[in-house]
Amino acid sequence: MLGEGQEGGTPLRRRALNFLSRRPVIAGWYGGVLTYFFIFVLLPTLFVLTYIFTGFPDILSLLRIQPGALGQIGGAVLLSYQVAIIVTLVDLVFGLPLAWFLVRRRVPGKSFVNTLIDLPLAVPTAGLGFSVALFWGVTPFLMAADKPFGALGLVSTGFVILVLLHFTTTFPYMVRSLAAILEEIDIEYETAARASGASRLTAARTVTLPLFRSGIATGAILVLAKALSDTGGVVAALTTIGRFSTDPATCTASGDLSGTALIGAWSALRGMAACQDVAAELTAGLALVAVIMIISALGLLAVVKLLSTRAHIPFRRIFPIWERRLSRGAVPKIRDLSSFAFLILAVLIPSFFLIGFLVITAPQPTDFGVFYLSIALSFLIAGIATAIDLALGVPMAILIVRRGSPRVKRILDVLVSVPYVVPSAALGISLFLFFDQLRFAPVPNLLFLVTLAHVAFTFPFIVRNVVGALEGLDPALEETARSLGAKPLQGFRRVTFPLIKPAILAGAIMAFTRSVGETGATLAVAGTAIVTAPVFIVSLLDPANPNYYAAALATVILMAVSATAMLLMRYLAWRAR
Amino acid sequence: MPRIELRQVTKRFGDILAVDRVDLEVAAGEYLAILGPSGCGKTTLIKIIAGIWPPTSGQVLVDGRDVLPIALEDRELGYVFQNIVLFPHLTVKQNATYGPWVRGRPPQEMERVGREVLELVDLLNQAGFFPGELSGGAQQKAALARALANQADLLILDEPLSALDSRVRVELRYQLRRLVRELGLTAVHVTHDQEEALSVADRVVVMRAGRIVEDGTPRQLYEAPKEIFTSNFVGENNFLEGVVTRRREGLIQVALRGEQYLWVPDGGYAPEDPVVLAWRPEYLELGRDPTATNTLPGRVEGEIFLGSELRYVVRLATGDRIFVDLPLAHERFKVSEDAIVEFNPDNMLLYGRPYEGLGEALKLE
Ligand SMILES: Nc1ncnc2c1ncn2[C@@H]1O[C@H](COP(=O)(O)OP(=O)(O)O)[C@@H](O)[C@H]1O
Ligand SMILES: [Mg+2]
Repeated sequence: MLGEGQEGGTPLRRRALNFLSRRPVIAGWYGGVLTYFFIFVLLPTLFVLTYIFTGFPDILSLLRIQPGALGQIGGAVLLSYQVAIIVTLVDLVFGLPLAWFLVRRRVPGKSFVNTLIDLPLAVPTAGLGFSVALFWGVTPFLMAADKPFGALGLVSTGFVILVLLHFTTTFPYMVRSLAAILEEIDIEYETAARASGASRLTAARTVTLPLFRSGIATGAILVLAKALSDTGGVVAALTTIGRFSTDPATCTASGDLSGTALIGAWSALRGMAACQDVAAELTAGLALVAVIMIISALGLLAVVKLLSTRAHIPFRRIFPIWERRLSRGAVPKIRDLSSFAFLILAVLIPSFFLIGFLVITAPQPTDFGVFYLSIALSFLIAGIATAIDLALGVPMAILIVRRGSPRVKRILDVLVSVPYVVPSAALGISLFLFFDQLRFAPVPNLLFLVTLAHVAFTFPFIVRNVVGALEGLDPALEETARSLGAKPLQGFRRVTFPLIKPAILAGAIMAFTRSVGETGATLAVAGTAIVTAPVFIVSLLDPANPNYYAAALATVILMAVSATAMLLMRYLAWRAR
Repeated sequence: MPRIELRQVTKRFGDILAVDRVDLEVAAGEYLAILGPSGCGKTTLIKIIAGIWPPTSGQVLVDGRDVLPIALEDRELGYVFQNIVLFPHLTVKQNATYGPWVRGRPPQEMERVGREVLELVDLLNQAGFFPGELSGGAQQKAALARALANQADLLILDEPLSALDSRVRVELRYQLRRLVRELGLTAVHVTHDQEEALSVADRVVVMRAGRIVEDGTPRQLYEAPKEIFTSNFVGENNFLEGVVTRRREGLIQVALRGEQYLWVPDGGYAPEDPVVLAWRPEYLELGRDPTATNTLPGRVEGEIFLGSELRYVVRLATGDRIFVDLPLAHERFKVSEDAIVEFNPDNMLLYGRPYEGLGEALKLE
């Protein structure tokens, strides 16, 4: 009674609200969301697994014309994992003290360090790869006169450059996720341990770390997934140091190729006119890489999850005197200083080295038409993908948190995370195969496919964020509104929505910047036919006709846009407090 | 047994002055209770004593030695936290032996100490449980066991009995008292429960808004509180405000509201002084004889059954509403009946009227 009286508004609007709040309509809406998720996100992601059977003849044919292909695939995937695991371990070693420092110490300038850590996240990985390679790497295609001041020119192998690259792309994620979870652990546990006579080190390893293991697992999964899945940065870095090349004459790729680098290379070749007669074989090769990467990524996810629930205190034995000694004086200082040194040397300087390069290098003639078009295209795709994410992701999150049994909830929760850990390039291949096999007539527009791929890998950002926010909310709030006579939709709009708006916005901005920076999925779906900004940056590094000036310029422009988006996100989060 | 001394200890949290220039001594082997309303700075004060937080200014001495430079883990104390903080990933037994474990004690000794302390708090049968599986009371006992297992001479307890059922609480209070004496510890016990403080401690310190109001033995604080705040916070009291009108032979006549007068011992007050007279409910008498001396007329407004006693709510002719507690065997009164309240001057507490007003002086913050 009360609610109806209060709602007022026009009768038409009220009737619309009533209609939209009716059970069948809501059920239909949820049904639609689930259907989309399964058909356009989950199914294409896992579709490639069926290709092993349907595409078997093509695989055999690939092995006939390129006998080394299988070895190349195995080597590439192995390289990816070696790099990802080393990067994850090193990130953990330096990230733990830094996260500890940021959460547990009260020092001036902390928020400044916090922002500094986040900054590299704003750089598209293709640009980062270029920047990192310029700083660390031997650069065979760069004129000696253009060598930027301070470039080290030390690294000439793919393995090392990839490890260095992924420090810059993943370390911020590691520190962020560790810090977020450490923040939740009551400091009083450590105090209680120390009051019982445990030194800081002993307290940390016997009390805080065991409470913290899910946080470490989350950080590790995030970093592993990111390191395994990056394509743009890998291709850019390898190209710049001359360890990545494609040969249209033989339709083969060579260099120190990681899994995603191989996907990038073969995708590009498949799109070239010269390689059309082996397109089916290249597709088979791509599918093989994708299958291996997807299965192994899911396996790794399971292993890390399992380790995190099984792991216990590393050594039960205590060495009071030694641990006490390590807890005081020079050791903690050296530890903190080396984490900061790592942050500066391995993350910040390589990330922003490009800006210095842009300042000193002489402008090169550049086709600015293509350049601006590529940036516009990136924003268009990111905008549409984010809009679709929002329309589907928010109901999906509500579905996960508020409806269904706990079991269904958990399953959905895991399913939504699948595109999160699957390398986006592999996801792109899967999506391409899915629509290719469906034999749509007319063949779906490539731009449409690319957008679908971008939805698939950005979708989890919105869902994750909103699920997190909803879980922190008391369902009683909305129920109270309903008990006062509000229709379900009204209850949501008036009560829940304002409270989760910051999370939705944060998710949207993450999805948008991630889409703008994505290279692998775009390449995998469309080869070089759809030139988004990161694809354009990678193409500018082509040894045959390099334009490093334009690549740097494009990167810095994208950097500025993403940094603005990120600062906006921080501002919104701050205002929501 | 350590002797503790605080000198002008102050702690600020931004604008909040949590502890304000506190001087305090705890003698070796003493059981001291710190009593005060919530938020008055008790936890802050003992965290400073323990070395968990440094004071903003002031000194902390143990056996005459400045202990501020000594790290928490080297302080040698047992501490029970207000929010318990048992380690959730360790069993009750592992929690209880945490101190010996991290000090690298041999397994047999850990086993023995763990058994001892769990036996003391009666938790042996739940030794294998995780803290999340225990009731609030059992968690508190486990926290106590963990503190005792440190085998330190100084035991600091922050509201250690608050989550227990009243019966267990009384029992454990008694156990604590016995234990501290037997083991020869110095104990500092924080509580907001005046009954707990009075029954457990050798000496009680009353705190209010970051400052120490008063300290003394439980009997002193109950029978002769020097501060009017204490007289109300420790036990209950009925207050009558008035002005001295005459003084004769060590007695003063106090004019109360409603043209009522009482003669009481002068306590050093002279005519014109504003004063507050206070009687605990159990010290008052209720009768029907209007000719008795030191009485005020009133009317019974209600009665409350307290178990061992019956409490009458009486509206005096002065307009004040007071409580009178009488044994059950006492002559009964009916609600709305007129009665005469006897104010025995021997049991009276006399204070000058606080300049900030009575209500303000009794407020908990
Ligand atoms: N870590 C802290 N940060 C800021 N203020 C605090 C902190 N701890 C306590 N306070 C404030 O100090 C005052 C005293 O708190 P506390 O010592 O916990 O009181 P008590 O234990 O007597 O209830 C309170 O006003 C409280 O809000
Ligand atoms: Mg407290």
